[in-house]
Amino acid sequence: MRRSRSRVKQVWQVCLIFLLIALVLFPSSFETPLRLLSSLTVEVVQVPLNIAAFFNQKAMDVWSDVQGLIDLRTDNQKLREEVLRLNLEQNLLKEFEVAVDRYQKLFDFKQRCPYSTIVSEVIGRNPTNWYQSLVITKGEQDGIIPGLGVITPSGVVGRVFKVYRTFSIVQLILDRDSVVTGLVQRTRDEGIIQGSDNGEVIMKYLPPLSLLKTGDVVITSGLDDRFPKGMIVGTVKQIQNKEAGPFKSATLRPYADFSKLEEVIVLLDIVPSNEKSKTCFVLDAAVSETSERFSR
Amino acid sequence: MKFFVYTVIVLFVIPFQVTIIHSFPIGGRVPDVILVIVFLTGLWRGQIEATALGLVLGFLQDIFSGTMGWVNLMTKPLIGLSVGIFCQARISLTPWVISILLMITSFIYGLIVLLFLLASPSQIDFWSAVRGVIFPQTLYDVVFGMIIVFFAFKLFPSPSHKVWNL
Repeated sequence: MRRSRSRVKQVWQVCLIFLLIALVLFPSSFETPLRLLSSLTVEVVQVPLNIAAFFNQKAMDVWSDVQGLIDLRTDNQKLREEVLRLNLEQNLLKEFEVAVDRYQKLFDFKQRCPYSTIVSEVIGRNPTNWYQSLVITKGEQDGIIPGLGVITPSGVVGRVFKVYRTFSIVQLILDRDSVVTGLVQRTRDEGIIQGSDNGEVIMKYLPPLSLLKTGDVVITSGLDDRFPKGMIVGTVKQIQNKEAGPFKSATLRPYADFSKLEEVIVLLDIVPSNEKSKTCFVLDAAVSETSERFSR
Repeated sequence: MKFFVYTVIVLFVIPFQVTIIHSFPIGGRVPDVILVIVFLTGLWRGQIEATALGLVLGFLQDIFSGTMGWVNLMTKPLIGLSVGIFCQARISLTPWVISILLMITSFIYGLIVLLFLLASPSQIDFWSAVRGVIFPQTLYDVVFGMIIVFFAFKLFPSPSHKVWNL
């Protein structure tokens, strides 16, 4: 049995060898059957080939998607970073714009102002709750001395209280120990502007027959040796008629926003240095407010 | 090392008190961070270090403050000394005890400053100052102090601090 099988094998081997020799020696005679065979084979092989190609395509698509996802994640990360960077840049630009606006106002004010002034940054506030003061970046080396008036284009801020070489402490008009002489612009009544314990600005010692009313503009009277006449302080918020006392007093709403002070102007000298108008301090807002009231 | 740590504290606390803390006012009042730091130094490190720190911080506080007097230079070391000596007594420093001690310290400090101002030409009304400055600051100091204590013991837990029960 085994022998017959080996014989069959040998016969097959011999046939195959003869076939190979014939193929090598007479290739043209095999061309037609080979073509037929190849077309048949292609038909058969095409099915799994197509299936394989289909799956391959799908796999490629999936891989491409995965690759895309990976790229997408990287792109997303890059875009997020870009958005953050742009946001930061935008914020910086906004801040820059606000700063430019502020500096422009200060510059305009300084241009119009006939007095010798110096602009200083506010870097801090009082370290206790007992006083109302600011820390500014100009000191002795910039020509600052105690008592000098401190203002903003919006109005009076206070006066220099302590001076060190590179910085100074400014006592705000909100401080209970601060005193500035004031004048009600409409009625021309004079009084003393002081701070109070609860952070309000009060105009004291007004004449008992004063006709001032809520909304009147209060300016500096010029009797003070550090503030020239006509600088805006605030408007009358409330009038106190102390029946027992000989004087009237009024609570003021200061023009300067003390919680948002970033730069201030120190008046180095209140003697006008040129022919510019002395009324440069009167704020546009205050002017329009007053003229509006008069027109009414 | 100790000197370095205290230098860092001084360099950090003063700008913090003069600038950053003013971004978190409650009713226009801010806590006295320097008082809290000196108090806690007295509590944890004893009277000598607290007094020395109180001297330096009080001096710097007066430099930046809108007053001509040196009230903080006098009171802040006193706080360090008193708290340091008081804490030598064997008392259980629970959060409640610390907050009450801080409240008393801050209130007494406020009264001392007020008395100083009443003695000076400053125009200050006693009751409005107690209502408007001393009470709010005392409460704010306690809250701020307890926040520091909480974080200090979260950051540096130690077996010796079990009594805090934080």
